[in-house]
Amino acid sequence: MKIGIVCPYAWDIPGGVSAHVHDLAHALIRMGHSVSVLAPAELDEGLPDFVVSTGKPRAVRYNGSVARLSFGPITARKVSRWIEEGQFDVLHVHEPLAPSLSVLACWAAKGPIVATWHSSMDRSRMLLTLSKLALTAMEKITARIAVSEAARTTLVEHVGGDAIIIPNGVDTSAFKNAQPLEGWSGDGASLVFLGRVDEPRKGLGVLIDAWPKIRQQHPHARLLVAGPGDASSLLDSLNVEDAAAITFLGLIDSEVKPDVLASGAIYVAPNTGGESFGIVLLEAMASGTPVVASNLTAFQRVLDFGRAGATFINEDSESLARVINELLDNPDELHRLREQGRLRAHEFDWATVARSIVAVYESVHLPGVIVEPDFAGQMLGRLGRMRVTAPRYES
Amino acid sequence: MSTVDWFAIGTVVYLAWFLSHQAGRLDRLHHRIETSSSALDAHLARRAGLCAQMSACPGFDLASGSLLAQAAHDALACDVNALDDRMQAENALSQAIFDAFEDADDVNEYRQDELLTTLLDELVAASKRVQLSRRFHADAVRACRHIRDQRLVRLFHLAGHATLPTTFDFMDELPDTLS
Repeated sequence: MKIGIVCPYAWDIPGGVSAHVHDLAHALIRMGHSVSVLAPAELDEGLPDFVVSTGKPRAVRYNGSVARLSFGPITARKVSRWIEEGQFDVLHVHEPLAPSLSVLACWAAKGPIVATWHSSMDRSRMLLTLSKLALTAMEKITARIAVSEAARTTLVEHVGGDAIIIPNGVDTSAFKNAQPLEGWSGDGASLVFLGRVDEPRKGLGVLIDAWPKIRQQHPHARLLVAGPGDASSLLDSLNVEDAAAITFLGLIDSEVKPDVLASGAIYVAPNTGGESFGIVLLEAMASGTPVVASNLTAFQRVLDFGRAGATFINEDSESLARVINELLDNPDELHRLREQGRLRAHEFDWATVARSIVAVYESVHLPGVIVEPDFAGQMLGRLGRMRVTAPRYES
Repeated sequence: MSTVDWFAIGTVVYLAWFLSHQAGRLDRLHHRIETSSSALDAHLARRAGLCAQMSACPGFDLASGSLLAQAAHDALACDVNALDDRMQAENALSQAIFDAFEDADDVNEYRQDELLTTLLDELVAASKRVQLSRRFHADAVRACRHIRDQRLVRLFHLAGHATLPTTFDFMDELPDTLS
């Protein structure tokens, strides 16, 4: 099948959506499909040959943070040309409400269009983004996918209609052969935490509060913390020995991530909120490290409600200490979680996820029908850019 | 001109814009429904075809084979436009698939045969395409009916002679042994 994928965010800047598109494109190519990805890119050199760049993105404030998006009349022309030349069987746009390439592509094309919703937004923000004209673009979408229950709820409540859920994928092969870092064994009483250390929602504070209680029962326990930020204020409450048992790695490369995850007997995810999926949990499980996570709905789903990992009461350090102490005393249960975790991660492997996405392509694809330019839609798009996006830009 | 005149002109302009906007939306949705219902038709035909093919295989159980063949034939023989008949026939075919493959031991037995295994995998794939395309079709139909139910849209006959689209409702679950 000939598939055109549109990524609204810069290809060469790390981010959830661009990583998803990157992995999806590779998985589809491995399955033998012909893929072209349209995305903004900071640099023209060094792009894979299946990526078509629309040029340098502009930094704009969008959905609570600075996003690198692409828009404007010249970009719109590039989008239509790409659709015209691509002769795609299916067009797959990502995050169609972001004021960038995806919505331009919806306006510029007609035919089988699949869209994937990634983020969940609150109502006020959604209403700002959703003008009537943006909705007209949404009406051309044939099949809608949401990556999580939260993303689906946002879509169903604010846009209406239905969406099927296909979760994010993990490239388990990158994690399968992970080896513990030097000086760490991957067993014993060692814990791993990954994430920004001074971001309260990542929950390192909850783990630090539980730390003395864990050290009391397991005096040899050590903690490996990987992630950027300044944690000095968190350590004030600890005595010297407990603080010395914590190793800070700072920001780590994505290549050493599997090894960091494999360095602990337990991976701890004390996040207090704001997680819609929890891909890092699956990465830890794929590296063979059992997971203890807060009981956020998203995490419980990933952990298959306790079958593939243990949970504690969110923001409750007593509960966290108890769960970890019990697990460290119970090697059989740790072993069971390691095996179950591996199996669970495999269910989210990109090969499996990509097959579900191809099933959606096949269910909307009609032999002899390809994605064509929609000139009326482009006129509408030109009007729409003024209405939908102009008031929202601060560059 | 007086304020009343301006108000009247404004109302007419707004009404004209609103009507053309809704007409554009309806046109896009009708187009989408055409595509989604053709896709659903294609996947249903494929599913029935595979059932007929399987029932004729030498390794297939005669009794469930004849039930499956009859249901598949009925589904294929239906008049494309007789929606109620078609829904009933597709429902019966889903039921026949259920009856034929509900038993895990039977399915394992069929999986010993190379041809049946290939056909079975294709049937599972086709049934999942049916599930997906039926959902996507229903989604488009709902959006379209939502607009067509609006009073102004009905008053001005914006939908023209296009028939009111309907969802295609039938049981499309697969037995646990196949999903």
